[in-house]
Amino acid sequence: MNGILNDQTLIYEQIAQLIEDGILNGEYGEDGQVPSTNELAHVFGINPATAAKGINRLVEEGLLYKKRGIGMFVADGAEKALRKKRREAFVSEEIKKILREAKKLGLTKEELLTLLAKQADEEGMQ
Amino acid sequence: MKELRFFSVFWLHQAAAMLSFAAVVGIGLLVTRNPVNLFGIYARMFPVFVLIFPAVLTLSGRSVRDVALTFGAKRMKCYAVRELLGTMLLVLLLAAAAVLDKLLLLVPDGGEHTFGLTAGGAVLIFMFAFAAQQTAFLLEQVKGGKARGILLGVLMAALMGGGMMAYLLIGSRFGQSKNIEMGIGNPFWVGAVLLAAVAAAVMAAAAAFAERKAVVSV
Amino acid sequence: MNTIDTKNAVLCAAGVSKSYGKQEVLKKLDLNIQPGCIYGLIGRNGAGKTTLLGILTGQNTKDSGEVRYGGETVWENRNALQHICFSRELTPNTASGQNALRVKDYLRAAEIFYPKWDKAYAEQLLEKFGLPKADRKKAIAKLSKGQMSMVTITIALASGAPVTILDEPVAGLDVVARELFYRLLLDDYTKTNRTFIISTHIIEEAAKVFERVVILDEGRIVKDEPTEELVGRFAYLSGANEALDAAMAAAGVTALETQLLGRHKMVAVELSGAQRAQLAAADGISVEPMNLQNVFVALCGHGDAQR
Repeated sequence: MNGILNDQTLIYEQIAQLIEDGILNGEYGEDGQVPSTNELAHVFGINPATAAKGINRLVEEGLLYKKRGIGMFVADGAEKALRKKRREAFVSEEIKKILREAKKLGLTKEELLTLLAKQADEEGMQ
Repeated sequence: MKELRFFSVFWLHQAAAMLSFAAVVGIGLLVTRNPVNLFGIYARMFPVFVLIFPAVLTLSGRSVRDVALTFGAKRMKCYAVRELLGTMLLVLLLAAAAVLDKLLLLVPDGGEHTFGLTAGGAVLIFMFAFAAQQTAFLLEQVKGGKARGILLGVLMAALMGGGMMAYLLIGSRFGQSKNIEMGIGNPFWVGAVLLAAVAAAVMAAAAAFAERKAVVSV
Repeated sequence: MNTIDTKNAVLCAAGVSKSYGKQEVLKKLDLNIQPGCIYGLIGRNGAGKTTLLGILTGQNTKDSGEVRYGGETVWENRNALQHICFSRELTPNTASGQNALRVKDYLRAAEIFYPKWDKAYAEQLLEKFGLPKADRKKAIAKLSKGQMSMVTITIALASGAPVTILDEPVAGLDVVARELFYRLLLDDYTKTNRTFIISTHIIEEAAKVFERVVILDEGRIVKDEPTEELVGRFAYLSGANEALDAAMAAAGVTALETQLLGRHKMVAVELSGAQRAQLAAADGISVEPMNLQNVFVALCGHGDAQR
């Protein structure tokens, strides 16, 4: 199980993203329960405090809430909020990355858009 | 007390080994009924073992004490326990020597070959053995200082050997002062016992003082 | 008689110095070990880790300074010492010779001295590690290095001591056994929330279990903070020689370690969030994360790794 965590991002961040991915692909369902910090610590072989930090980030962002004595649950509208956040991150990180790389390669705006469109068509994007 | 429980385990092993040895000598002597074979010689010379073993065992006890310290034992309690158990062992060995000496009398011609351990003699042996043992306590504390180590080692050996020599000179059948009782009436005896007692007291005090700052040697 | 509140007691060293002859091993060292936390204590050989741990547990003497647990000094103080377990690294020299200790003697000692010793748990652990009852009669000095570590780990975990210290617990263990150890440690911690201090050379593997890391370098504590906070503040910067130098100067960042490859340079740096953002935006400069091991080498390597 240790192989799933990489050393490119801080662990608590990876835990948070893992839960976010789960929320996005409906793994936990509406108002569903997410893994506890102890479970996460056990499965990934990490310190419970680290797992807790990841969970807490999501709680602070309003994506999870705590049911006393039971555990952590997906908050209402979490999926929507996440999608919005991910879109914003997509722009500020992924798109900027592509542009940076494209500039390095000496592509023009036209060439880049053409390449994007072509690839999208190939993959059957709407 | 925790320290007592801990050291007792090892002490029992040692005591058992020593007493088994004495038992083997005794039984061998009675079975072979020969006062001059190996059993007979060991039986007669047992007081020499009494002078040597307690000190040597104390020296090797240091590593056990170190382990006790790693478990959070208290230094002075360790020291007190080791002194207590060490003295008990010394007394036991002395008793074994007395018994073996008497056993020689049960064997043909044994009377010619006894050590002749009297009460006064036993006290003399005890005091020198005890002093050697105290020197051992101090010797195991010595850090670094090679000169001090050698000095103490020599002193310890001197006490062991001195004990035996004192015994022979002062009052055994082989000494000059034949048939002179070893006891309060004998000034040489009193002098020797006092000398050993003072040496023991000094060593013990020094050892106790050094023990206060004992450390685990890694 | 238990006057110390172990749930909240801090093990603290203040101004601790220790020299061996002319060599200063610990220099006016301060350290506060917070309760209920797994600490990693890392430092190079000879940095003074074992000396420090010996002093923290009242097993070795110090030249100056104070060590307290829950407000009480630890030296010869049963009140404090009964709550502390220092499971030292065993070597063939440990209790060898005439009074050679056997495994079962060692376990018996633990039972005598640790008030919370859990015998059943110790049995379980030894089973898990594959140290059958038959081997318990063996002298410690005759065990393999791996088996010695297993004993060390068993003593530490089964002690139940509120502050449990392990010195090089995984020496000689193969990777599977090491993973088992980390798992056992975390399971125990999840249940008991004890304070653990793990002193180790195997840094990266163990980093995931440390909540806080303490770095000891040349007799001083150079870092004492949450693992991820520490690691997050470091990065490898790389780029063309001149460009990198310029960007670093602009951001006010100095290199801890430098590697040159032709006209390309890579450096290890410590930087703030603002500096990181600035450098990430700079042209031709790449900012990569460092892991705990990398950070340690950069901070304590003093260039030795590059020689």
